Amino acid sequence: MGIGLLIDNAGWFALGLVLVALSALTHPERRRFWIWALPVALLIVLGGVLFPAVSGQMDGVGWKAWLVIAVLAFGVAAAPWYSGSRDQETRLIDLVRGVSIVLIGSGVTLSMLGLIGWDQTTLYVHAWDLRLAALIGIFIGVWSAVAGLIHWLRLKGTVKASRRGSRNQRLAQWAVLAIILVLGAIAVIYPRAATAPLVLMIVLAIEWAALAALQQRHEDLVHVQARHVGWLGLAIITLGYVQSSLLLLVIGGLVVAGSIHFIKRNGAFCQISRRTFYADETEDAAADREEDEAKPSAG
Amino acid sequence: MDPTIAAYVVVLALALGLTGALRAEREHCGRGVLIVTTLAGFLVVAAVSALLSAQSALELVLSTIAVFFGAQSAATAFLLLRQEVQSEPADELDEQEMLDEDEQARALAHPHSTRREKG
Repeated sequence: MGIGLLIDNAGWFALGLVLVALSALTHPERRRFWIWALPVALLIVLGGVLFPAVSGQMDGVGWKAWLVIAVLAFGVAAAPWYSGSRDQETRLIDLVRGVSIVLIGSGVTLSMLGLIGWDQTTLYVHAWDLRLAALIGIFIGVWSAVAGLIHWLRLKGTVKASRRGSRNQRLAQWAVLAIILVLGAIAVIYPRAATAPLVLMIVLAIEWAALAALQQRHEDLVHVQARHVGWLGLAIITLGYVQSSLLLLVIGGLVVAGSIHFIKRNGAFCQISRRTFYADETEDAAADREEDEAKPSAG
Repeated sequence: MDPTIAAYVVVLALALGLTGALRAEREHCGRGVLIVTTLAGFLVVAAVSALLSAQSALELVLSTIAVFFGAQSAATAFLLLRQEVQSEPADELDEQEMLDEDEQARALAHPHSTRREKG
């Protein structure tokens, strides 16, 4: 039995649990209990894949399954632990930092998966759809990881936000994006000559994403990150297509939908909505304001 | 995989998400986006499947990194969601629930007038 089929078999139970949890989460009293359904659903799928591998029903993957379990444990242990309490005040900076970590992790995962997919499909000239999916994964992964990293460094105070670029600078950014798209198209259509365009595309994507993330205004960061979550959903859809897993297709669709809701309705967070939160959160914001105050007196 | 089937499944899931439980009032949109960020943790499933089917040393190394970061981001997303849900005021009604209650009260008080308003 293939791994894709194993994922989808366990996926029925997980998806049912996710859908029940989504409707239960609208109820204020059941919410605290039902959020645990989401990680349980993830564990069901992981268990459904790992159990046959560990118990020796699949040849030659036993030690890989144990490696997966060890790496999963390390990954969860490396996550920052947020304690939930109603009395505790969370600041916007904590939330943005948390989502930055999520973006970095998901972005790195996506880029790695995209590279693996590329490595496996360059040999088949006709598998252009799989190469396109791998390329989209690499681009979205690099973009999310770099944006998350820059946001995280901005909050730490390591890098300062740059001013919003002039019109010409923004045109140059669009031109770089166009070059990235052309290079991607070349790599998809001519896989034999693809190494140089692919490397150049990744380098340009890093530059483009870093410049864009430096220019975003401090108070827009949460919304930019919500948009990135939507892009992650799109990447999950392409991964579901590549691995022919209907579960990943459905999850990706749900992720895109949630991101659209947040952006369209200009959402807010309970953990930070009961205080004034845009003043003095970081040195970044303070520096912006000083510049703004300095400008009228100079001019 | 057949692209048509894939497109149908994606459109159905998108429709479900856009009409269903992820739609919350403005205050609670943050919960929706954190729920789907937690769901994005299913990325780790794809990474695990890549590691289990890795054929070469390069693929093994890349997919091990992918599983590590996938697990880290999934755990972080869930902890953020937990923090958001724990910090919600417990005994307050949602805006939507208040609207529903208002409407019910009005319907009970003036059953005919509400019907006329709708017509």
